[in-house]
Amino acid sequence: MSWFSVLAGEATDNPFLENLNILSVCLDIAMVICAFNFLAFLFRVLRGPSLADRAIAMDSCSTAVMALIVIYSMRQGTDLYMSCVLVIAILGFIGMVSLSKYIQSGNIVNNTNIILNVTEAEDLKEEADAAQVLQEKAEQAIQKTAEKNLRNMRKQLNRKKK
Amino acid sequence: MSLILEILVSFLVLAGALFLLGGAVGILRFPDTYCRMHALGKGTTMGIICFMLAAFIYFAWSGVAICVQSLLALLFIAISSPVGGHMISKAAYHYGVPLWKGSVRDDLQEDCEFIREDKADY
Repeated sequence: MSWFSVLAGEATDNPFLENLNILSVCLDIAMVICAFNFLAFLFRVLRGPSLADRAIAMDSCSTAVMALIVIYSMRQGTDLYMSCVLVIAILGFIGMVSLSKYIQSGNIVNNTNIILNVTEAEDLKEEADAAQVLQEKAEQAIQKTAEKNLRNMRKQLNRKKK
Repeated sequence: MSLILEILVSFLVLAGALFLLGGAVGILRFPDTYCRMHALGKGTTMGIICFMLAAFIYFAWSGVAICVQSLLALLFIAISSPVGGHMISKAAYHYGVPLWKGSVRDDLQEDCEFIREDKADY
């Protein structure tokens, strides 16, 4: 266990843990498993195809860090690290909520009048194109009627002159 | 009594680590964003609950302190972690992340007005 105590810190500072063989071995095994979990979550952060994958994998990274802190504090025999765990939990929840707001609406605080959804944007674009076509048709119709009125006026004028 | 408490704390620590390991295997192996969220929500919540119970029992047993922070963190995580998972999942659905090909039901699609399409640049 010499290489492991170099990596994870000496557990022999805790005199309470020296007599407990099962618990010290289980703490070491759990520490290794939590380190592997942290690496797996980091792999998903790097490779996840969508933004939501990265967000929830990063939140799970904070969970793995909390587990590692708990194991480390149990190895060292102090409860001073537990308030760090509480702070990390609160910050993780706030970060997750703000990221979900960002994913859904593109903005965190004020989410009115902002369209991030691609299908809604395409629909609005189609509506705008249809409105533009209608306006062009109306302008053409107005021009045609104006020309017709001009012709009628000219015909009437010519008749009056004759 | 000491042996019973030691075995209990060891079991809780190993159970928490194995719950977290289940979440990690799920996030590595599942094919879909929603499946991964499903695995992570259960795994991380149960894992942290087991770890906090183990820490509380261990510190109360070893005479260091009555560690109230661990109970507070347990309560807060048990409330907040499923809420956060659901919020992220709903945001991903409204953003247009596609479902897996083998998914059989999509009840949320009836409530959503827009038509979901599989896009390459999600």
